[in-house]
Amino acid sequence: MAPVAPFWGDGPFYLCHLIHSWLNFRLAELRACADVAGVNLSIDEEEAFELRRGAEGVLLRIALDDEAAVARLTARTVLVRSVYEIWATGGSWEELEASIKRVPLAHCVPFLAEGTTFRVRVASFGHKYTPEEQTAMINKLGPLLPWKGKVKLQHPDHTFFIIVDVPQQQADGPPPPPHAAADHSIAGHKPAPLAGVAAGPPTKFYFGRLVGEGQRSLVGALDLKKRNYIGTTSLDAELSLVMANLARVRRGQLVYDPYCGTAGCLVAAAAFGARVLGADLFLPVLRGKLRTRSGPSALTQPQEQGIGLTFAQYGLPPPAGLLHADSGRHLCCLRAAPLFDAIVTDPPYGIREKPAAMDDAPLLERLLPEAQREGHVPRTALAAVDTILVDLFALAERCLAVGGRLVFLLPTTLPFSEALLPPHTLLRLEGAYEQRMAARWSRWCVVMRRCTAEEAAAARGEAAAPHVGRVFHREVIRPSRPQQKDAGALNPELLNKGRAKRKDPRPAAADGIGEAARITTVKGRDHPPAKKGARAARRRERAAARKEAASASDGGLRARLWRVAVRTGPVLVVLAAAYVFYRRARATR
Amino acid sequence: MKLITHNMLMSPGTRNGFPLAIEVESLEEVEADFNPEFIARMVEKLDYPALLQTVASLSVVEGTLPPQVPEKYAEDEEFLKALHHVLLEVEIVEGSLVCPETARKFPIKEGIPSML
Repeated sequence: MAPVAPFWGDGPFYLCHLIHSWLNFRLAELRACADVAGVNLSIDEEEAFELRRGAEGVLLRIALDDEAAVARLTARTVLVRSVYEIWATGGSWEELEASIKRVPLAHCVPFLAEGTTFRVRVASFGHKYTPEEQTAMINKLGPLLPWKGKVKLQHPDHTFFIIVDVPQQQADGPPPPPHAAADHSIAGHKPAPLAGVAAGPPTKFYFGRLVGEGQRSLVGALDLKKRNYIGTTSLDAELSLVMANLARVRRGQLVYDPYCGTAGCLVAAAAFGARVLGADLFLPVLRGKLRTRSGPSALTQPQEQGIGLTFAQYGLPPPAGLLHADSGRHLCCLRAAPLFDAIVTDPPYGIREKPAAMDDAPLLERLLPEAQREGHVPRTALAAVDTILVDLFALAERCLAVGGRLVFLLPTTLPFSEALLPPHTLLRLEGAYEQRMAARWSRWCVVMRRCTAEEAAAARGEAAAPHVGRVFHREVIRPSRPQQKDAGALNPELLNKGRAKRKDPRPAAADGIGEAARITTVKGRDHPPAKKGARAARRRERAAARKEAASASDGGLRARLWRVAVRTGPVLVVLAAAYVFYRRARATR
Repeated sequence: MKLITHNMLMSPGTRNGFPLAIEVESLEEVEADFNPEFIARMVEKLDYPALLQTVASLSVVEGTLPPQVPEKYAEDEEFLKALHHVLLEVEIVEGSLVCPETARKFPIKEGIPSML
């Protein structure tokens, strides 16, 4: 790996401005894009480690061969905002000034020459400069460089940036004091020093030229809110683009999604120039018959919708084909050949999207009469996460070209490791990137590469970790229904004693039901039930228990009559008294 | 269903269920953007004899493809264009696919084959 040029003197280096989300995906995407673009990217390992560990930073030094390489790289990256060619750096404004003065004229003159237009902007991270402060900083640059061009704020030929990176407080340190000394930072051109930061990495100043901008606009263009056709679980546009990048989708390739749904993954792959093929078990979704937008937006819902129209909306060539098929390994309807260059998919794991496999014995065993087969809707069932993985690996080993990538999303309640994946001989794990979904589970984007049989044989010598088994424990997220307490197993006296102590009118048998009712309210959430409905639930429970108690006891009827008598008695007495008074009054008149 | 898809499909759960015979009820010729790079890549992935067999059974495209893939197919624009037309511009809207092994029928409705 070529060493990264630290400062001016060894030549300019490039500074990459990453976005501050998808923290675990950023470096992997950058490297995948370099792979696709065929550029020689080198990242300082130490800095990359810092970026991963802290996950706060957005600036990363990278080394690339030339500006053309930057253009090729940024034509693909989604998680890179921009790339700058850095001319000067410094730990303070004074150091930066000194560094700018050392920039060789031969390098900077072409960009500052007469007849060109330029603008200068300030980008700061971890500290905010007011417009006045920014102007003051920009004006300070005047005497340092031979500016011969004309200022043009809209669409200039060259954009220069002053970048100030103030490292953030570490999580364990004391909270940073407010930036009270804002005017001090103009005077000394140094942001207010933070009490706790002194020990941390120092503030950095950079001066450079903007050389490339990433494909952030593509994220907005493919936004689900503006898409013609989406379902309840359509894949986020940004993630789908990142997945297409991780799959190294190139122009002219064929990409397959065995669980395509509304074709979220495929649209992203097509946006990078691939032709796509999709399959799904649910026929209406392929025909564009899904009606998911309800409420006021139903008015704005297009009358004409469908996967083909989504592609047309983005000006992409329509999918090469859509299949109504089960993607299970025993029902694979694709011939065994290296048909696809990549498989990118978000399978239905039964967390939000249910059926994943066909469960229709008459159809599968061909017992269905010909006449009925026409309009037959196959019965589908929930497939276990592990089963889907086995199917997916079987498909990838059968139909993926050597060197092609399988990229899929996998929910786990356990920390990810290769041992979670079912056995796979022809696939090598390249990486897995975590997206935290809730306190107890994450979604991982897993990237695997199809290797040759020889590679697989060579790797077989390595000790393979045993398969752990269940990847996703549903019980962790949804507490399973507790077994009804076996009243007979306990001494009835003990049960009665416990009830008396709790002053609970419920008989023993009702206990389990009450518990189950409470669990049902929790179902589907991973946090305790909201307090709001708790009182009503308790009231309902008590009423149910009372009812049960009344009907269960031997003298149910008598007890009920007695209760009616007790409740209505006083009213009857009062009425009788009133009547007696009324009669007396009439008699005396 | 386009013929590019047809060339990849086989009858599920069979050993020799390829290529599927096509029974056409309605067929459309659509226009698609010609991407020579993609078509050239597809040549390696196609089962060319099976494609010829399919083409021979469809009257609209019969005889448009040479019996052999030319040596330098990547530069042979005429061949790539013919292949492009066959693969991407012929859409079978209604009909069915018939498994050669079990004679099972898979319906095609609105251009989507049901491979169940």
